[in-house]
Amino acid sequence: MMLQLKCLLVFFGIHSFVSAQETTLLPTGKPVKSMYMVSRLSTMPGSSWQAGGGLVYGWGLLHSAGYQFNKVLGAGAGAGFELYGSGMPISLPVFAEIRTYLGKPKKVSPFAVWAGGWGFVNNGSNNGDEGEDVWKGGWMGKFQIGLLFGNHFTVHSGLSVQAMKRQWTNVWNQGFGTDNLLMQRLEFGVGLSW
Amino acid sequence: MIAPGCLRDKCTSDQTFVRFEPIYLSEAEMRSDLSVEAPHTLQNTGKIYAYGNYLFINEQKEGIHIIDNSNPAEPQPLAFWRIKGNVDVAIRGNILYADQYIDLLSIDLSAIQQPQQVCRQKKVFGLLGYDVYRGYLVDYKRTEETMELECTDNRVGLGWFMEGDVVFTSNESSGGGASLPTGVGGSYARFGLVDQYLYTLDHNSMKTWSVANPSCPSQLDSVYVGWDIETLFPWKNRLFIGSQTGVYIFNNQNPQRPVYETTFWHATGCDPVVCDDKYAYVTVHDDTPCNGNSNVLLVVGIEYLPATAELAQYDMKQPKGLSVRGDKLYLCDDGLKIYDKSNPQDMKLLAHLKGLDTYDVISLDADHLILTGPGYLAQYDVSDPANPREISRL
Repeated sequence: MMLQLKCLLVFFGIHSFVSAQETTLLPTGKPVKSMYMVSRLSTMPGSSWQAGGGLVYGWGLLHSAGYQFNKVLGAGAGAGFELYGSGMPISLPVFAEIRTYLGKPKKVSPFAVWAGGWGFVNNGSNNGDEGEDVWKGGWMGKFQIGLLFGNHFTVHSGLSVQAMKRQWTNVWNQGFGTDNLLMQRLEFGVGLSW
Repeated sequence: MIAPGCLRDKCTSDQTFVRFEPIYLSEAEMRSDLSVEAPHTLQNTGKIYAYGNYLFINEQKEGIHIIDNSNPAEPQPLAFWRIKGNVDVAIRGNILYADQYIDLLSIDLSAIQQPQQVCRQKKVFGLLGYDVYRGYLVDYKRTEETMELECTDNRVGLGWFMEGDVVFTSNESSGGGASLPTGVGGSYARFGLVDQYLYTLDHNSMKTWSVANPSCPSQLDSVYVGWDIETLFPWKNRLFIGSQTGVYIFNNQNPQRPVYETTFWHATGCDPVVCDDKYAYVTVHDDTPCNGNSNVLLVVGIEYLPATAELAQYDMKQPKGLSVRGDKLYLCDDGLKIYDKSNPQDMKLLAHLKGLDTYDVISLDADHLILTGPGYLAQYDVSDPANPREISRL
């Protein structure tokens, strides 16, 4: 069984971590094989889909919890709040994640996180004189790499995507339509891990 | 700052438009003679004219259904008169006047089973346009089309736009587009007869005809009114012309040459108008061809013309045709509404029949109402206005 797992990890190009000892301690002094909880605050810059395509910043606050089986495989789930720009609705992402520590733990331990799930969106927003918008959520995904410091502090960067739909109406001309949005953002942030 | 610029949010918009593709016909193609056919089913019913014991129901751009209404409880379809391009009718004596695209036809009704086309006045009505290579623009073929557009596309959210000569308008939310105008001497009529004069509207002008020689009217006058005129309601010595932005009032004391008197402006929308001695009743409703977003019934004081004044405004769902008789006002809005208009500034709702898709209503007499909607005609006994009773349906 262990051999099969090693083969799998070799296949995914992370063979250098396979030999890690599961009893290794993280920079925080906590054993690798243990429950974990992480909270992180991120900013998510990118170019707006709107005319002009100016730089916009989103914000996100996520919390996740899970179990780290060994250095290379931890699994958990999380939820939080995200806002991709003014005029956008707040989304409530609910996701599953896989967490990996890269290299041998030292004072600073690099890590990577893959997350995927569904971003729920609050339902309605008034678009002023133009009418009522109804927002619907969609799938979301994240890839983050970061550093865990001994004081439980983390920094990370990565990529974040979130699909949404906006059903709009125009009271002036009885027009309506559905916008299919895919927010594609860089992500930079800080967090706490314990 | 460069890196975020490499990632761009994506947005595509699924938007449904109503596509209007122009239909062109040559003069020769437009000029088919009247032919009598077996009765047809009512489909896209247009305006209605009641004359004697007969109902003449326009089938939009196709012809006229002839109904024997001797017994309103059992109206009998007699025939279908195919008149391609017909929208309006008016009858005086035994002559029916009908438009056919750009022409005015006179049809002798003396033998209603064997009508005779007795006159054709050529090129008297303006149409939507003319192209030297393709002919007259007579209509638009209407289809719905859903497009996937980039959200930054200029067409997203537009009320309308054109691609070549195809017009796209934003989709209707009302779903009421299938209904077509009807009105027999009713509020949607564009033909009006006063004594020996026939008044006709096309898209922007009113023409005056003498019917002293009934079988072949002669044109006396033509006056530009406005680009968006829709309905004509003769009342005493005045002609009330409904448009999308107001009611034009012409004085026809000299019936050969009606003179513009005043305009009552209102919010944009389709607007049939009817009158009694002191008041005009105007419905303003939104719809694709009419634009606007106002749905109201207006009561306008006309006692001291040319001065007019809006005396009352009633919020409605989407009011369309209306009719007045005595102290009653019959209104197509969310079905059929019957009001007591003894005090027009405080009208009382007597009855409301819901669940009907109605377009126009005609009061034939104090007890008898004709109600029209998409593909049907219903007759009501309104002797008890609080409890209207359907007596037949076609």
